Amino acid sequence: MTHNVGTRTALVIGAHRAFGEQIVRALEDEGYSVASTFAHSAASLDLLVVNSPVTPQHIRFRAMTDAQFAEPLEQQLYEFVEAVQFAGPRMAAGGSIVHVSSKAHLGTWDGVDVAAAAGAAIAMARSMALEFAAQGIRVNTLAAEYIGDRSDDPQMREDLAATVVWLGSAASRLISGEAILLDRGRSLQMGLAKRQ
Amino acid sequence: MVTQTDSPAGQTAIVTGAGRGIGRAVAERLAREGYRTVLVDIDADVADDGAAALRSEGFNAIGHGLDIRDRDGGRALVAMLGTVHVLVNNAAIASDMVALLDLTPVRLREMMDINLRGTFTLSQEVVAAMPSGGRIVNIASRGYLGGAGASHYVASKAGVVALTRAMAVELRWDGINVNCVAPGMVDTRMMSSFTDEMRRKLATREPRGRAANPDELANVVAFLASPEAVFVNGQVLLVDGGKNLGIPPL
Ligand SMILES: NC(=O)c1ccc[n+]([C@@H]2O[C@H](COP(=O)([O-])OP(=O)(O)OC[C@H]3O[C@@H](n4cnc5c(N)ncnc54)[C@H](O)[C@@H]3O)[C@@H](O)[C@H]2O)c1
Repeated sequence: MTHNVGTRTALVIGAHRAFGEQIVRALEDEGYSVASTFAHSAASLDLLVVNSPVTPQHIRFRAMTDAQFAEPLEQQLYEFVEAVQFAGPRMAAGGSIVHVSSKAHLGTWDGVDVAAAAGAAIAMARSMALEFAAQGIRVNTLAAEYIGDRSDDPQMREDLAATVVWLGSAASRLISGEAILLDRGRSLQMGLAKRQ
Repeated sequence: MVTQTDSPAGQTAIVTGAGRGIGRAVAERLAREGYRTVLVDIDADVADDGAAALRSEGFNAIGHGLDIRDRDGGRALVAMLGTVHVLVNNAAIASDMVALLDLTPVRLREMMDINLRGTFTLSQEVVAAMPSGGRIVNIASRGYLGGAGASHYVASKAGVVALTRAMAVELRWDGINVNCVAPGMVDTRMMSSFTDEMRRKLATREPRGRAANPDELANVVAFLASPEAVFVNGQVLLVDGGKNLGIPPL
């Protein structure tokens, strides 16, 4: 499907975090040459993955400090923007950017911090998608389950990695600015919105 | 039906960024409805002017200089007021246009710190003094859906929308409603830097051929701030004349 000659290149930021191992392996199986730091990145990139999965701290709104509230923005937003500012100019038409964030933007118990950060990150990705559209670069979000959530099992991680591969491929070339939930339809089940 | 005990008389409402624009219109509206209305603004002079104008008409209004990021200042204000029934989180800095690749960490962090973290900080202080039946209305922006050239502002406002939902998830069990209004283009000083040419061009993209005026936003905020909206919780209401349904190309 690819128009590139030779190996496709990927940069995976956050490869050392949960889901990173599966993502890197899936990309290598697909034939990508994968780097995980700016210093090791290829000069020209086909795919950027910013892997920022979330471990919720379960802090009640009334008890949260300002520092706790702002903390998730470091990874979810500031690191994401920094990586895209690095990779964007190294991409040509057909390039793809995937942010692995969380589903917290839908509203979550005892987690206004992660909710606000996910909401901000998804909107940032949509703005990026608009700005990069003219260059033929796509930007999408995977609104993943939390690390250690009861849905976080090896199968979920494999499926998440497969979705990253798909978003990097031309098979998804019509998809940009989306936030894709990987939650087995659980967001549809209101009864699950219970305090854990 | 609004019962006697729900009457705004005897209730206190805080409006942030109330010295100008939408916040000023909201504060005027709430004061006319009978609330003791506290006009908060980082610019104490405009807050005081607004409150003095309302008092001269016989309404109950207090001007108060406060940066919404200032936790101690927020706490002191709440201690002075006692119970607070309504909070309208309207204060924010405007979107300066900047391409994503030129966006510096300093600009991005400042935007998030004022528009999002400041909203969190003051909300938390006020919620500590809010009884069951309290209402919080956050002002986001239609731009939260995404926008080229304003990614930092967009992210801060989408953060406010998600914060609204997550606050409602928790606070609904305490009888507190948290909702959000997402305005489209509104005629305030946020638009004052636009040239006439820009205004004309932008107007052609508005379904009504013009920007909203602040009173048209205040109408909607006043409803969500009233006990009549008791069963509306965790929602974001777009108030943009239908622009979010799609616009013709420039
Ligand atoms: N005007 C529009 O077209 C438009 C569109 C969408 C959303 N909004 C939103 O509506 C709200 C009001 O906008 P406006 O057009 O009336 O703006 P404005 O600039 O006319 O008024 C905002 C007020 O907030 C105050 N403020 C800024 N930072 C503050 C801080 N840290 N603490 C306390 N006060 C602070 C300012 O001093 C000012 O008086 C904002 O949240 C804005 O993002 C406006």
